[in-house]
Amino acid sequence: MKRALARVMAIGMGATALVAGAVGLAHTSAGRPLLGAVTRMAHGGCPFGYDKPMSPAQRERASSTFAASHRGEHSAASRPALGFELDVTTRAEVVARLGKQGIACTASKGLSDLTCNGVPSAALAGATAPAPARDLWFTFGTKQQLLSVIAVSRDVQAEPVSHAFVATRDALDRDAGAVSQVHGNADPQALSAGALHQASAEFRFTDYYALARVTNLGKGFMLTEEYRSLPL
Amino acid sequence: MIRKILAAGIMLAAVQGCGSDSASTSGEMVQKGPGAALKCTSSGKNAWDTYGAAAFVAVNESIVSLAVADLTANGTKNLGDSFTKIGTGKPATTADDVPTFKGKLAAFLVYAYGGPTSIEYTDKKTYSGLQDMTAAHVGLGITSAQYDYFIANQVVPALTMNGVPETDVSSCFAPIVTDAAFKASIVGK
Repeated sequence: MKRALARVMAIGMGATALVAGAVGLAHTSAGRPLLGAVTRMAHGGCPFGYDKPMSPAQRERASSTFAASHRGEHSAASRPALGFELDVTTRAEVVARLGKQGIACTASKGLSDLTCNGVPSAALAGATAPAPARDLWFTFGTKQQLLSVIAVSRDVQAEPVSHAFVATRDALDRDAGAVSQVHGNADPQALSAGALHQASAEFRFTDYYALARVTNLGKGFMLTEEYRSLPL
Repeated sequence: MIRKILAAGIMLAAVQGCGSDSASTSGEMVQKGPGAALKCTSSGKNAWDTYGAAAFVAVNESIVSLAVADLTANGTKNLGDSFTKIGTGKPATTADDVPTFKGKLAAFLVYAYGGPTSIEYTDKKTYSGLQDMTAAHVGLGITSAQYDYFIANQVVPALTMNGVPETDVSSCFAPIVTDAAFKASIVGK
């Protein structure tokens, strides 16, 4: 009984200390984001803070946050992005270029400035590795400049997605610079060996980040591509 | 790493406390999740028996971390806005705050992959793994593409980055999350 009482008291004291610490922390400069999150939760807002579209300046800050944890040691020889030019191509240019190919893009929520679905490789500029039709998501900064593009493509067969992964990986390795990290076996047979078999290749540079990842989803195969400008 | 070890220690202690859920000392049938019968290639045992509490805590934390990282970098374009509704109560299925969401996710994973029906998570609260996935996702409008993206870019990396080999991902984890009926219980609700 005494042990149980002592345990309850210890838990109570510990909890009080934690609450006091959290409240104290929340009112320091470092803890204000936490206080903001709690306040948003109390008012029915998103605790993660992503429920409202972010301004271009916030998008650029998010890009800096990503860069802080994904930056490599050397600059990229080039920065491939499905034929678009990071930090240069504008939203209007993306809309115009894809519009000429008969592809309509739509605005979406959050950080996403533009979504373009079912984009064939032929509609993208020459530097693009062939892949099944891609769904593209573009993010732009304060000057409407392209910050990142993410692509997802699928096929029920392993071969076209595997080949697209290998072509993407090899093109990045050749054009941007040596791959930073690889995982898994992208051979069609290896991918087909079981559900959720996956291969990935990550490229980290001081000014550029790219990722290719192919996954066996059980009833089909999916390729994810990421191309990002890393602000210096 | 320290956080993982601490979390694992708490989780292990918690699971010991839940021993009556998983032991059949009374002779009664113990309810087991669908993954209890799946055998990992590496061990011939199910995922829970192969990897245990520490790995499940680590994977659960990694899944949430990767989802938050994706939302931070990309907004809702890949995962949709279902994660952003956590804690808002709109729709009603999102009333749980983030810690509760994480506890429930962990409890579901533990139960689904052969562990006890309830756990005490790192927040020292007890969560039941016996959850109705359809009811839990009502009003979220999760699309098939969002589900696939989540599995490919958060769930699988969370498993592999915590040391689960590809053969085990495929043999004792994949059958549930790639099951059409399971996916249908989450998508389009």
